[in-house]
Amino acid sequence: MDLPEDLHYTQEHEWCRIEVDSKVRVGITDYAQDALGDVVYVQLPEVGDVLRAGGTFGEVESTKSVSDLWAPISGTVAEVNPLLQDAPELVNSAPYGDGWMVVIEAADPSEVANLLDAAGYRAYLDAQSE
Amino acid sequence: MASLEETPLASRHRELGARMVDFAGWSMPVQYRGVLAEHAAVRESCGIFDVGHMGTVFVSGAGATAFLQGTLTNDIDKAPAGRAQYTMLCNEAGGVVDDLIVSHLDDDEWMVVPNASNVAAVVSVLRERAAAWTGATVDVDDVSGSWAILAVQGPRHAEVLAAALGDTSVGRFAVKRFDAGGHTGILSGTGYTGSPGVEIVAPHATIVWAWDAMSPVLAGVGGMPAGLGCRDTLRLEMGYPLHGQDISPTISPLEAGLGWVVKTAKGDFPGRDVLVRQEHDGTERTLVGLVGTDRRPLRGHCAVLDSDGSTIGEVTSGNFSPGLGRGIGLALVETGTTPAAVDLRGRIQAVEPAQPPFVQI
Repeated sequence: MDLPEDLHYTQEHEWCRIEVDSKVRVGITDYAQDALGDVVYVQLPEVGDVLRAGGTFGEVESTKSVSDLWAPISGTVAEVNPLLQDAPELVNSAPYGDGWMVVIEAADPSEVANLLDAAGYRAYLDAQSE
Repeated sequence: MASLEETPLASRHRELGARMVDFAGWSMPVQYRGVLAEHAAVRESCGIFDVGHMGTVFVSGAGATAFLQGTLTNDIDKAPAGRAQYTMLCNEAGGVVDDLIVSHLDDDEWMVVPNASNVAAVVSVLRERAAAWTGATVDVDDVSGSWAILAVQGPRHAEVLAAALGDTSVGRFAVKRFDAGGHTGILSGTGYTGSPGVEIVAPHATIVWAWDAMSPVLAGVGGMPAGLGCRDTLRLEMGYPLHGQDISPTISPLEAGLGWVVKTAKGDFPGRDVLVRQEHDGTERTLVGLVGTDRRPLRGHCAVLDSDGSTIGEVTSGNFSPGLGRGIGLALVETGTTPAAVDLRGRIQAVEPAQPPFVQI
């Protein structure tokens, strides 16, 4: 299970990478992509859509199930990953790289403090599997 | 929760790191490496499926052929010894108790293979009818507990099969007994994938031996073990119905477009009266194929809409077709209507009706 130390995580199995100018890149974790199985479709929001922390912003579908995507922080969608429409398998092969979902311009960067660090997310996963 | 049943290959699946799921009370591999990789292996090379959760029932005796002719929907006289046939066991309402492959092994011996979730129902009907049967002797022997099944499917299946059975082979829907150095069983030119292939039906020890003998060759031809996940995407691409979804005790074979396995002219069998009426009057519902306009998988139980947005039926099976790169599905809709969209959890997805198979093999 790959859990990069420089990322923040949520209990909904998303990761956040803090970039410049309050921008936060978001994707789903290695654990999430493995649990879903082969991803065949990703529904993403439009650039400019306003997201509220804890609200849904899209769906990830595998051959066996559908999962909602939950916004880890509030803000405005600044970018969506254009590769996923034709190559959703990137979510499986590179969950922390080319398989990213959206970039959010954070409304309140201090919300990042509500997220888990790698150790906290690992502890959460361990608790779930017990 | 009652503990799950296991096939004789359970330890092999664990060693391979398969993801196991509860399927009809059995612990079965849903995937090993991944559904898409396994799907591609079957279409392009070979996949081996453990389908040991399915049943194996022998029906034998001087009255066996007449008994099955009076019990199942298809015309069993069209299956001479050495041939297998797709058929249905219906209830009196014309609904499907189970869809079955019956194999004619010898003059007075047949093998019936029910779906895992229907073994008990099928055996129960066969035994009740055999007990009431007034013709020549019929014996119903359910060996599902000690026999299992391997499906070896894909264009390179013969090379893989040869590792276990040498040059023994069968044509499509042919069936024969084999004896490979003391390992005996039945080889059948059948499958549920649409790709060319065979199924090995045999006692547990033979199944484990065959799996172990074929595995090294399987990897050598670019094949791999294949789980129930890709079995579903493969069969759906062909439009093959799945019992419990596309056909069921409340869905008739004629509603499902399976009139070709219902031979009402042959004489009586359970459900015949209703099916004769449906042949004459038509059915209120029809099973149709749907293709989405993009990759989004269609899903079972989603409402099907016509161009006015009125609900005309429901998706019975849906998923993503790796071959088409689009969502596909089967849906039961009001006869005479034209599907235009499906409601996928509130998102309206445009679809087009299509006659399966959805892909050409």
